[in-house]
Amino acid sequence: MKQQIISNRPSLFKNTFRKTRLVNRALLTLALLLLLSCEDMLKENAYGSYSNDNYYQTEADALNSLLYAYDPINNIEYAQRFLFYLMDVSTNQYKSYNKGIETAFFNWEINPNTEEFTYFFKYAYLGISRANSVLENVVKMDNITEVIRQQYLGEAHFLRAFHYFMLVRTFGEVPLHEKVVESLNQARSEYVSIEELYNFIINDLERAIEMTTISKQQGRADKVAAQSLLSKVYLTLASSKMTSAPGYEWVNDYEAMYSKAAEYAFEVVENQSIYGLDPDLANVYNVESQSTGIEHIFITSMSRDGRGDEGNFSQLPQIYTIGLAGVYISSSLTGGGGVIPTVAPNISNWQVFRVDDEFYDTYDDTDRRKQLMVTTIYNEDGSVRATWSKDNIESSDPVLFQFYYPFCRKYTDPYSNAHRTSANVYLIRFAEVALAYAEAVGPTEKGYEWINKVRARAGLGELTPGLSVRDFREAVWDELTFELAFEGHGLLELRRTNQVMEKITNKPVKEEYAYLYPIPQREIDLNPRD
Amino acid sequence: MAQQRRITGTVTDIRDNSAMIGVTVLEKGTNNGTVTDIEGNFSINVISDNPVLSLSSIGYRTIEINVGSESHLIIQMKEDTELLDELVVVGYGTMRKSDLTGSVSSISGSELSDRSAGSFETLLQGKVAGLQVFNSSNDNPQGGATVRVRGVSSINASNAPLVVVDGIPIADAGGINSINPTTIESIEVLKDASATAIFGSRGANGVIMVTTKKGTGEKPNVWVNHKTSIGLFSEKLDYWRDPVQMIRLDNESRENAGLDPIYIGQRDPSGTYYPFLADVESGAWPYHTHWEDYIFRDASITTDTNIGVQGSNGKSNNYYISLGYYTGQGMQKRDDYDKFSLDLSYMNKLSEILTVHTKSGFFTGIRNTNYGLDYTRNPLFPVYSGDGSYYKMNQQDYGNPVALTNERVSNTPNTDGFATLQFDLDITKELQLVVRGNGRAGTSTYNFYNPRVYTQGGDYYNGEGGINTSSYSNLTFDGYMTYSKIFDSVHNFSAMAGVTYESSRSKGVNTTGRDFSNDILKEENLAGAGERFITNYLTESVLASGFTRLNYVYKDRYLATFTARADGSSKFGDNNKWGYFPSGALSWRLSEEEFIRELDFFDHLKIRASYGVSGNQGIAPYQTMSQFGQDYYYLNGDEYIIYGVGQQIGREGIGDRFVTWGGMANKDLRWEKTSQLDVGLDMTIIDNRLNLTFDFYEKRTEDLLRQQFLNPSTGFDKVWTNDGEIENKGIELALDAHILTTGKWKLDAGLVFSRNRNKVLGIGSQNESGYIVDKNGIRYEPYGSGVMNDAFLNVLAIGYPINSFYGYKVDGIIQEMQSDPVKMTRPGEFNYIGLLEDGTLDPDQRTIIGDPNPDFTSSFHVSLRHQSGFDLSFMAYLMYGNDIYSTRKLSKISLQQDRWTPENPTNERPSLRADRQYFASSWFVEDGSFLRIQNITLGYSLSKLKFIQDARVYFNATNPITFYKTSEFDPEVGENGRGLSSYPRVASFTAGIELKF
Repeated sequence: MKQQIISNRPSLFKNTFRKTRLVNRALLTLALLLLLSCEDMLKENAYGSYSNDNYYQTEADALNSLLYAYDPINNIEYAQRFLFYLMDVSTNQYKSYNKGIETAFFNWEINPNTEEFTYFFKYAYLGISRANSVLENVVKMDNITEVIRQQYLGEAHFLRAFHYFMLVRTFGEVPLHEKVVESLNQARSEYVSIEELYNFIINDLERAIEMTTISKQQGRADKVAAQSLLSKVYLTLASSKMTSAPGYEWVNDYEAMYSKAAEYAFEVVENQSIYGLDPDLANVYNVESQSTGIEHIFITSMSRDGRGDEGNFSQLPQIYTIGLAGVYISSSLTGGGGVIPTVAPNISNWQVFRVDDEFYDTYDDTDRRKQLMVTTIYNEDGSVRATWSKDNIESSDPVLFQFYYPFCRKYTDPYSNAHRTSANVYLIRFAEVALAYAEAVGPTEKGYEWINKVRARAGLGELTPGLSVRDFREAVWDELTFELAFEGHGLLELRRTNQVMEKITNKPVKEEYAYLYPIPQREIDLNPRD
Repeated sequence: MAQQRRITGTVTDIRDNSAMIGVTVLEKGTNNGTVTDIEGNFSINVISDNPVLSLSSIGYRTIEINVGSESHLIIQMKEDTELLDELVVVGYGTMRKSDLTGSVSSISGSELSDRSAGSFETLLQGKVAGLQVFNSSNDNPQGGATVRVRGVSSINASNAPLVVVDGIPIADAGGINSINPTTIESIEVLKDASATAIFGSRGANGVIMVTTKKGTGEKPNVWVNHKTSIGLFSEKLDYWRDPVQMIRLDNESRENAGLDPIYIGQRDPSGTYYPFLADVESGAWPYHTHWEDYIFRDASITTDTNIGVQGSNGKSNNYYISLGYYTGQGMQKRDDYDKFSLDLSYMNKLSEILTVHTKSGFFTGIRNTNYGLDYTRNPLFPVYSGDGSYYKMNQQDYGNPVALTNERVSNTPNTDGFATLQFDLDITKELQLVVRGNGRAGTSTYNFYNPRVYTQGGDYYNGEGGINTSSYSNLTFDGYMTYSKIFDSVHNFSAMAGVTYESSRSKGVNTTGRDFSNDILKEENLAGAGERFITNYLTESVLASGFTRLNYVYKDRYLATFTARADGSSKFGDNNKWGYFPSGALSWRLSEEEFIRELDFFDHLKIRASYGVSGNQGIAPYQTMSQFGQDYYYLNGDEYIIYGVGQQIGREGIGDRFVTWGGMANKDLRWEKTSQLDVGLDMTIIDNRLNLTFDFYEKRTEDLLRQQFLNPSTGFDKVWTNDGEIENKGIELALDAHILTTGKWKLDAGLVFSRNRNKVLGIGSQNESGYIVDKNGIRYEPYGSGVMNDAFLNVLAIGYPINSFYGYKVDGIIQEMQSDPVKMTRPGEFNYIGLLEDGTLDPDQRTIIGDPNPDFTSSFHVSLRHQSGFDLSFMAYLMYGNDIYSTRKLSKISLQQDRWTPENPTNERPSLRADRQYFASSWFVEDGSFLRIQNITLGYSLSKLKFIQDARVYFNATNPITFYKTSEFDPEVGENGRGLSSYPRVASFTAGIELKF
């Protein structure tokens, strides 16, 4: 009995084991099959969401992603506001008056944590990242025409150069991202030298010029824009070297740079017929003719019909004009011809950009550009509502109380959709390139011709003939100051001509940041410099 | 060779002296054996010199008897501790409770049956040590609760335990309406890693295993249950009963702010007319509206009716069919929930080796929601204007409760169904294969309409309404095999291995219309809306897993368990698709050892220890992928909808001016990882009368899913990452005493005690997470929404419990006039620590001012039964040591009398001042401890009536009395310590009847 049980045991066990093994084998096979197919099963496809995996299929996709790359420029963080904080508020153009909305730039109370640096820096890189995405993907698309591909890639090269050029002039050595950052381990990137950045920018712009055609559109760049920007790049290298501006010691021969600048500016001012100097200065700042006028080479694309957030529409008039609803200004620069509102009459303004009255005084009284600063405001019926005076700041009259500085009228939209306006920002315009050409070629016939064209439009007489090369160029720089005031060029022009400490007299310039603004703290924290 | 001797005996159960059939009687050391007959008698021929008989029977403690010279033995066998031999449901199988090495608590479904609830989770409060249930809004007829097992261990992912019904993972606990509490047979709560790791990446928050009822009994039964509950406020409402007093205090408050009084018989700037104080005093003002009468019902009525049939044919088949109909009301009018459910369960043993189970159910319900009604609305305003329209105090008044109740549409019908088919294949006696599939699907539709004039949205948009439809479908397939065998009668070995595949998919369309030509058809005619908006979504996720469990028991005393699971989840990043979750546990049943037996003190004694890793994958799908953004761009006069790399994921800065950019892939994203150590003790003493379970645990969760900052040159601001660490440590104690077990009276009592200590150990590096370091060195980041004039109250602070309060300290009320006072520094104001002379506050003086996590929670219950059929039970619930941030302390009308005035220079309350700003401060922090009599039930059962097999009638009182200190109406607040309810807790009184035919 006992033995029987013992002898039975192994056989029972074996029997079970065999069955187990069979079933186990089946189960194992099942498991393996499951696991093998799992890798596919576990793949995600995000519904209703585009990504690299499912976009860039059609020409429309390519265009939409290219426009997405242009888009950051339209935002508050860039050309809707912060560009002016960084470049204009920091110069003699504006002062605080200790009244109204303040920004650190009125008094150069700036540091690596200053909000505007962080956001301006970020939006430049948003543009770069999106341009990189276009470059990486459109090149691989096989169902678009070669013409379209070249055009879009060229524009992306332009955009990337535009942002790096802005970054290098603003911050100096910055991280270089040539590709979209796709994972955490690509987040950190080396800070590269100014020389390398310029080489990169020049290369991008040369490719942009090569790949694009002339095609004038609001909100997009073309071959002329690329040529203009490249001439500005060489001009910056030339003048910086000539004046020994900090950071450009490595440039070899400034005259060689000037001649490169002249070469590309020539293409713009002499060798095409689409763009030109708008004979009527008022037209340049007329919201209705801005986008169709001949002056703009590269301009933002905001519309009063824009949906969504600020950036699709502009609120620049509210920031530039005084803090009153229903402000009417003369419809012409010379007076007469009725009045227009700066923005829909019931909209209150914020008076952020407060022009320094001493800067106003530096304009010649005959200079029409002086009239771009408003000193008289009107009621709807054309009667005078108030006249500007320095002393208004003390006034107890509620209207005069706001009107203590002449305000800039370069950004107005009488036809605004409530707070939504179409007031756009010139990123590159013809007069700037014309003056670049003049500066590059110096006191030659052509040089005088182009500076005098710009002066003539402003109602000024010809520049003193027979100036030395240096004096002539300095005269061009002064002209640039008057011509491009309030358009986001102020500090950049002073930096490339090594005049920051000398020309900014109404605020305490922090010397350490005079030529290079600090890299934002968050970038330094998360991407430390070695 | 010894001579054979014949021994006879009778075996009875020690409890009731009934004869025991089928007891195995073996002579030790031989193969001699027999079994007892129907009368409990046996006879055996023993062969040894000193024969020892071993008697064993399933469910009874095996005994050995030295026969000596006896020839007839009368033997009483003792049931092995009733609880210890229960089968306990664990992941993918069952285990004898005595073989458990992990921390698992069980509740019987009958413990949940005396009350009604829209969802079963609310009924679990206080039942299980370590299971915390916050019923912070108990006036929700749909039910719903916040459920936590052993504290909060995640900051962005889900913290709710996984609910598994009959082996199928359903959802996270919280408000699962599709489970009818009546159909619940038992609930097991898996707490430690040894128990939860089998659920891998979803086990970290604990697991609630629900087992539903199956048919039993030879004869078919029909049963009917019904209960009706009446809900009443447990305390008086708090509102302005005397309008004159209201005006006086309002005048005082304005005067202190330097404002003119408003009760001057004029319209204020907003257009509201306020009568003269004198007219109100004299009674000339005709209106004194009791808003509470318009808003609330006198009592809320909840009914719960269940009818069913069940039966079985021994072990060969069983069935269970149940129909349930539930109607619940909230205290607010037009706030209700109705549901109907049907559950079917059927089992058939097709052959010796093959059994099929099937279970299916259907559930449909509709929730009407009424919300945002203010019963403290100014009683001087009428309900209706002279023309019969609803009265608006001014153009922007969207708060007339009667208008909102009558004119607004807000309801959500939903329907769910499920079916399971399961095959059990007994390949051999030792080897079993289970294969099953389950499908669940449902839809939910939210219909809403905000009429013009009386609602803000409706007024702004000329009527606003919509229909949001969502549907889901989930599939689960699993198969597992269990092999168990006892080798050499001392090595008890079992092994289980299996695979599972789950897919879930949810899809929705949201439609909203604005600008309707009138309010007649409302959301029924969305095509008539002038503006229409549509959004839609779909999310899909897949989980594929393999799992195994090995159990080994040596000599019934040394137990070891090993489990492991591999989870492949579509939600995880490409570089981390698979997660592995192992656990191990050891246990020693000391009571089987001779030296313990000799003490003759312990009926059962076991110590156990476990360690393991489980995960939390509670993130939304697609977080690991790159996602494009969308915006508009104008080109040549046309609006283009543009797409590209980088996506808006939020806003930041003052006034939310700036966009936060995300959309970068993180292919390394993975589950949160919780490792847990548990040491426990199970003990039964005094003839099985006292049963004690004690656990100590330490749970550490790392790789918390968080968003981290990126350097801006990447073109992105934030990306999801795994970073951060939280610890929960605690003890749990459950005590069950069977005080009277024989005789006419039976008395049981129990105590449940849980203490959890939570601590945030890490929230990433400062640069990456952007946390703030204050002047005292506290490293924190805001967590959750703002309070009053402050942007945040709760924080995640390193070294402090989650949700700690952060703010100013207040040292009473300013009593002395300062030399040059401003509003904030005058007598009657808060004496903030950090109050500067100019009336501003020094933000560096802020610190941790409170902790909403309780020191412990505990519950105590007693039940008494009499032979005649009466039963009485009682349960109390205690939460102790938590802080509440009570804004009610300021706003509660009954408390405003005690304000500071020059005549009443109290240090407890500030003066009334209409324009005071309130900052997060310790003044609002109150002791949140409370003791609540949660349940009292009186019942009477009788059986074997003429047509009725069993019957029971009972009366239950839920939440009748609560003892507390806080100013909140309801001391049971959310886990962030903030009061929610604007009116008192509802006490409900239930009468029920259960009949079984």
